[in-house]
Amino acid sequence: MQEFFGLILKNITFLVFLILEVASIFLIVQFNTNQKRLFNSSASRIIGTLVEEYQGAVSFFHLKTENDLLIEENAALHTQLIGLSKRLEEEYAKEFFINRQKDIIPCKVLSNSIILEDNYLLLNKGKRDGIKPQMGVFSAVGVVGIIIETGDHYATVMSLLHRQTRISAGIAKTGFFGTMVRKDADPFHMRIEDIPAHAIVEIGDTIVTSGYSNIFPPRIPIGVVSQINEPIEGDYFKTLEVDLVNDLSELTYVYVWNQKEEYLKND
Amino acid sequence: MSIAFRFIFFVLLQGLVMHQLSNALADFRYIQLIFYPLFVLLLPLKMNTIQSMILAFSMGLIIDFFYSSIGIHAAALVVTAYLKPFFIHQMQVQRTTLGRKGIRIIGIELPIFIRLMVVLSLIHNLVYFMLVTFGFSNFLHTLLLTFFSTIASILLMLMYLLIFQPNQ
Repeated sequence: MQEFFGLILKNITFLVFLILEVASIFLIVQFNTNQKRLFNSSASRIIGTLVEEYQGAVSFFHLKTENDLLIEENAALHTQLIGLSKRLEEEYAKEFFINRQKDIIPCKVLSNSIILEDNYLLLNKGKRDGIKPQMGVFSAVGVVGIIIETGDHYATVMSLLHRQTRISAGIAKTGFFGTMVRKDADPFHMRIEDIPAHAIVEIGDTIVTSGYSNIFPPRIPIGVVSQINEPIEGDYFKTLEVDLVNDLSELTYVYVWNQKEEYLKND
Repeated sequence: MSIAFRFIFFVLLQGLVMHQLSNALADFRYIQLIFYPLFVLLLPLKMNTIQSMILAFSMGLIIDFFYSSIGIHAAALVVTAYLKPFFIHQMQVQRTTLGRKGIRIIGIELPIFIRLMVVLSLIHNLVYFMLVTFGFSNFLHTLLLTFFSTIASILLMLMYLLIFQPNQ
């Protein structure tokens, strides 16, 4: 018995090392399966406040780019408004668009990463502001990701740059659509699979959301076709390489699209 | 700088500044700034390994909250803290006979300290990025990330040593 305790005392450093490592690994696994616990804990609230304060201090440096973006977006919205007000005269269109415009929640990006294989964003709004999992997130420029977890005041977004991303994307001109997936670990390009072999595609065509998945509204820009891989013999689908329009490293404000249930039923 | 103060300083520096800076550097794709292992390196030599591992674990865990990746930084930093005495032992033995005078950091000659910094950062980053991918898929990507991140981080650590000169 004495020998046993002697052995333990002799290797106490290694034992502590093992215990701490096992604890870390346990946390890693636990965290992946159950993120809710973290977000309801007060720790994330404290970190959230800290990050928010810090960003308040440095956001000053991004004002110019941010302004330029806002101006561009304003212009685009005005153009849309003119077009829409004409269509509002029709009764059906009236209901359709009014219902939809209420459902966009503006959010600020608190943290973001793009170079890992699975990337996440943290937003400054959560359950209390009406954000739920499975909502689509996009910025003024294009698609950003999908909400996966919500806390009371914060929400986690699975970025486009995630190995599990599957977004229904189509060619703006012709309407053929496929599934967009992650291409290796590249933060600026994605790949679209399952485009029918007979679809007409050209390099430079715009890719937009198809709207079939009910996560994103239709026709939100995603990217531009940069390469077309014709199907191998015996295969009926081709794949497209896409340059993303959205520089995901420079996100400050994003919009969350809240798909109303009534709208789903009407569809 | 006392250890407690340095602890908080390093956590904030890594969680707020380095994290945001890494996103700004995204054009290079393989660079993530991992600065905080320097905290473990700067712990006094007389502190025993168990204490420094517990400090490393708590620091890693707090930084994990900033990265919303619970446990990953903690696991990597505990490895670093555990391996530090081995490398110090190895490197000191080779050099003590020369007994040169020069700049010393926590009692280690500067050139040896820098070598220690390079080796331990490499190990820390390798463990970290392997845990991030959680496996050996895409191992080349992991290696490239480790290599370039280490170079960038080492440069920052050297800057820190120049500015603050922690030579107690």
